[in-house]
Amino acid sequence: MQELIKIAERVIKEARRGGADEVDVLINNFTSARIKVRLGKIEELRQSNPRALGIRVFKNKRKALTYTSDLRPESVSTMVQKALEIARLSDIDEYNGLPEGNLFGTTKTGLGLYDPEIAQIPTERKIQMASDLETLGLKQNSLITNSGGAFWNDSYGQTILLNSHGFSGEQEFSNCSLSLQLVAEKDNVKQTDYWWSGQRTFSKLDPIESIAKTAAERTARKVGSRKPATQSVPVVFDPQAGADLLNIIAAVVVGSAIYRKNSFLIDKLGQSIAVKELNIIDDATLPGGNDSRYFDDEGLAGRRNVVIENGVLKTFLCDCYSARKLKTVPTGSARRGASSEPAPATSNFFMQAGRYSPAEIIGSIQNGLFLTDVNWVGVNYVTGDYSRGAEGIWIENGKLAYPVQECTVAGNMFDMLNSISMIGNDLEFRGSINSPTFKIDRLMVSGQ
Amino acid sequence: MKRREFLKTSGILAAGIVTAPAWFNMGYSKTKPGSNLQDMETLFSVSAAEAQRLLDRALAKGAQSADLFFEYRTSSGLRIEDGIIKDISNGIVLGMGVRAVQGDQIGYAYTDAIDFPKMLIAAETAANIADTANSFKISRFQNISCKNLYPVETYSVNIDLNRKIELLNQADGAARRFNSRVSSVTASIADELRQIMYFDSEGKNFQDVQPLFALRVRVTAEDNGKRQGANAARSARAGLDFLDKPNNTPTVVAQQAATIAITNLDAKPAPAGPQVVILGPAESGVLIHEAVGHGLEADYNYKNLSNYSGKVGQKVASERCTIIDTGLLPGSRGAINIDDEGHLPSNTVLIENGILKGYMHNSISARMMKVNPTGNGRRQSYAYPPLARMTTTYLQKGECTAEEIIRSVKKGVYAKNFSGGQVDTIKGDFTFGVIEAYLIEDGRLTAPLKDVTLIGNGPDVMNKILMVGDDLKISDSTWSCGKDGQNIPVSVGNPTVKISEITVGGS
Repeated sequence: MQELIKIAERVIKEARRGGADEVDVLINNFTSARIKVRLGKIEELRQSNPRALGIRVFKNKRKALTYTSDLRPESVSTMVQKALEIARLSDIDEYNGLPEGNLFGTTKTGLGLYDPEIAQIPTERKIQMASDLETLGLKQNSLITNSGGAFWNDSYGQTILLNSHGFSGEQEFSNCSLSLQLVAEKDNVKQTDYWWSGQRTFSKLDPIESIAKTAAERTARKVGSRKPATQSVPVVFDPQAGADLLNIIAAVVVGSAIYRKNSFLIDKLGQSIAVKELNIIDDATLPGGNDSRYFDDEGLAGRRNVVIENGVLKTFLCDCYSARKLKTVPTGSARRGASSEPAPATSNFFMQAGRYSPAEIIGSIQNGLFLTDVNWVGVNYVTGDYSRGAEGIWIENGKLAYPVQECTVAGNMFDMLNSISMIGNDLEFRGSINSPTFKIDRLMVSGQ
Repeated sequence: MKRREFLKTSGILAAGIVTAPAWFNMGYSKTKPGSNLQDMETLFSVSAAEAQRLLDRALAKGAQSADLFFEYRTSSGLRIEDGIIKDISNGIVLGMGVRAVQGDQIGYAYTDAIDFPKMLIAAETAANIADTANSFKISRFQNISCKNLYPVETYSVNIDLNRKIELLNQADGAARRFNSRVSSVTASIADELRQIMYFDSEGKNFQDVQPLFALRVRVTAEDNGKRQGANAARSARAGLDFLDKPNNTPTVVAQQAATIAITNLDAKPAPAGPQVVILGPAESGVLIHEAVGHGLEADYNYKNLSNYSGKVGQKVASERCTIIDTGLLPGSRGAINIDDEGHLPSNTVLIENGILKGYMHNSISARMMKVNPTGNGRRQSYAYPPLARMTTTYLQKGECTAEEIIRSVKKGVYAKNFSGGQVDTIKGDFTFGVIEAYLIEDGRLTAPLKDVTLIGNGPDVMNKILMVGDDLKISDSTWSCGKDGQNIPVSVGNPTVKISEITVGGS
C-alpha cells in the first residue's frame, strides 16, 4: 500500500509541476477469486489482481481524465503529461474542480468493511463450500433436475485517493458471496432460479443449508407456470421486485439526472411525490453495508441522506459537479472507477420497513399478482412510464395460488408511488439496494 | 447477481477512451494482422521462447491444453454537453491472461503487470485446475494468417482531437437547429484500439488489431410541460471516415435522435395484451439475438441449460426463418478477423427454413459436442476466459415488401427502435424494450406509442412469424452483449417482420 501511495504522490507532484491547478489520483488495487462448481466438478477456478490508476487534472477550469492499468513509473508519467495536454482542448466550465477544503472525510475504521479472514480462506475450502451448496440444492426437491452451477466469489483490497488539497485517504474493502442456480423440469418445460448470500464479513454469510433451500424453493415453485389474463389488479412487490423499483428511483434522484433532465423528478424537490408512509434512505455509514464507505470518490465523508421522508422528496444525491450546477451541496455521493469521471450514485439505498407481514399484505388481495422477478428494459426515466417483463405467483382469495410467467406489469411511477398501500416489516440488507415487501393498489398486467 | 443474458445499446456516458502511446506512432497506420509479431513482442516484452515457458508452466499439473492472451487497449473519449466540451479522457489497459484446460474445466489467472515473473505466477495459478500425471507437449508455434475485415487508413485514436471536437459540435448544432422544442443535447465519441497476441499449447499463434469507434447523441425535447429524451448512435470497426457516409454524419445521427424525442412528446399509452406486431428492419434484430441467439450458444447446450438443447434437426421456428451468425461482415461492430482462441470466424447457419441446424461454439463446447469450432470463442478482455458468443446475428431476408407487410395489418403495433433485451436461456422467455413505436390502424402507421416492453418465449414467437420482408438491414448502433459478467460488441440485423401475436406490455 505504501508503494501505491508513493505512486499517487508522485502523480500529484508531476501534475502540479506541469501546471495543473488541481489534481486527484484514484488507485484501485484488489485481489479476487471466482470458483464455479457444476455437477460436482470444478468448472472454473479464476484468480486475479486487478489494479488501475486514474488521474484528473484541472487547469483554468478546464479538465481531463487519464487512466492506466500499467503502474510502471514511465507509463504513469506519460499519462500525467497526456492529461495536461488534452485538458487544454476541453472548454472552460465554472463548475469544474475538486471539493472545497473543509468537506473532506477521514480515514477511519469501525464500519466493518474489511474482513482479514477472507484473504486467509484456502482455495480448497472455497471449493468445498460451493460443492456442498450445490449438492444440498440438488437434493432439496425431486423437481430439480440440473444445476447452472454453484459459485464462490471474493474480492478484497484498497481504494486510495489523494488530491492536491492535501487529502490522502485509503479505505479497505472486502466481500464474499456464495450463490447457486438450479433448474427444474416438468413436461419438457425447464425453469430456473437462483439464490445467494453476499457479505463483507465471511462469518456473516447465510448458512449453506438456507441458501440451498431458498434456491430450490424459488426454482421449484415456478413449475407449471401459466400466462395470466390481461387485467388491472393489485400487485405485491416482493423484496427482489421492490429493489428493482428502488433502482429506478436511485437513477432519477441523482444530481446528474436532474441537471440533464433525465428524470421525472426534476422539479419536485420539497414536494410530496408519494404516499406519506414512504421513507427512502441512502446511508453510506451502515455498519457492514455492501456499499458503505468512509469517504466518497472525491474524498467527502460518507453520510446518511434521507431522500424521501413521509412521501416528500427531501434531497437529490450530488457529487461536487452536480451540486455546484444545481446550486446545492454535495451529499458524499460521488462514485467512479479509475477510468471514469465521478458521478453521483446511491450507496446503501433502502425503503424503510413498515408494519405488515408479507402474509397480511398477500392476504389483503382477492385477485392479484405477487411479483417476484422483473426484467430491466421498459422504463422511461424522463416520463416515469413503467413497463417491465414480469414473473410471479397469482394471488386468489388472499392466498398464493399458481405461478405466472410471460407477462408484463405497467403503469407510471408517479401513480405507483402514490398508490403504495401496505409496506412490509421484512426489510433485510442483502445487497446495496434493499426493499421490504409492499403493495401497489393497481397496475396493468398484460398476458393472454 | 442476475443470471440472465442481455443486449443493450451502451449508454452515452460510457467510459471514455484516448491515447497515442509511443509504439503507436511507429508506422501502425496500415497494420495487417499477423504482420507485426516483432512489434507485439516488444510491446508485451515477451518472446516466443518465453511464451513457451509460460505454457509449460500452465501445463505443469497435467492440464491437456493452455493458452496465453496478451492485450494492449488504448481508448479515447470526448463528450459535449450544454454546448461545451466537458469530458475528455484517454486511457491504457494492458495485461495478459493464462488459461489451463482439463476437459471442460478451466483454470484462469491474469496479471496487468507486464512483468515475466508475474506472468509465471499467473501460469502456475491457472495450472492448478488439473491434477493428473499427464504430460502434454507444446507444438511449435504456427502463425495463423487471416483476412483483415477492418482495414483502417488512420486509426481514429490517432486523429487530432480538434477534428473530433468539430464533429461533436456539428451534432450539437444540428440537433438544436432541427427544432425549437429541442432543449438539450449531449454527444460523445468513444474509440479504442485493441492489440491482441495469442499463443496456445497446440501451437496456434496470432495477432490482431481491432479498432472500435462509436458516436452517440442524446436529445431532450420539451413542449408545454411535456418532456422526452431519445438516443441515436453509430458504431463500427472503422476509422473516423465512417462518419463521412451520408447516413452516418453527426448531423444525420443528431436529427434522428431529435426526431424520436419530438415524436414521442405526443406518444400515447400502448395497448396491453397479445397484439399483431410488425418489427421494423435492422434494430429489431434484438429479437433474433434474444429469442434465438443466446439459446444457441453451445456452452449452454452441451450442459442442457437451453430450451434449444437436443433439438438439432427439429423445427424451432416458422419455415420462413433462416438465421445466421457471421463474424465476417467487414467493418461491422460484430466483425472479428479471428476469435479469441485462434479460430477463424464463419457464416454459421443456425436455423434453416425453421429447422435447427447447429450451435455457436468455442473450443471447449466444440470438443464436448464433437464438432468443429465455429469461431465464436470471445472474451471481454485478458481478464476473462473465452465463452461461446455471438458476432453479428440476423434473420435472412424474405420476399415481402415492407409496405405490403404493414398494409396487411388492420390493428397492431409497429416497433421501430429498441433499448435492448434480455433472455432466460433455460426456459426461453425473453423481453425487449421498445423506445419508438406506432399504432397500426387499417394498414397505416398512426399514433406514436410510449415506451413498452414486449415479452414472449423463443420458439413460440419464432413460429408466429407470418411475413418476412425483403429489406434486411444490419444495425450499426452501439450494441453490447452481456453474458456471465462479460460485455462484448456485437451487431444484429433483421428485415421487416410480421408476428401474428406477441404480448405487449401496455398500460
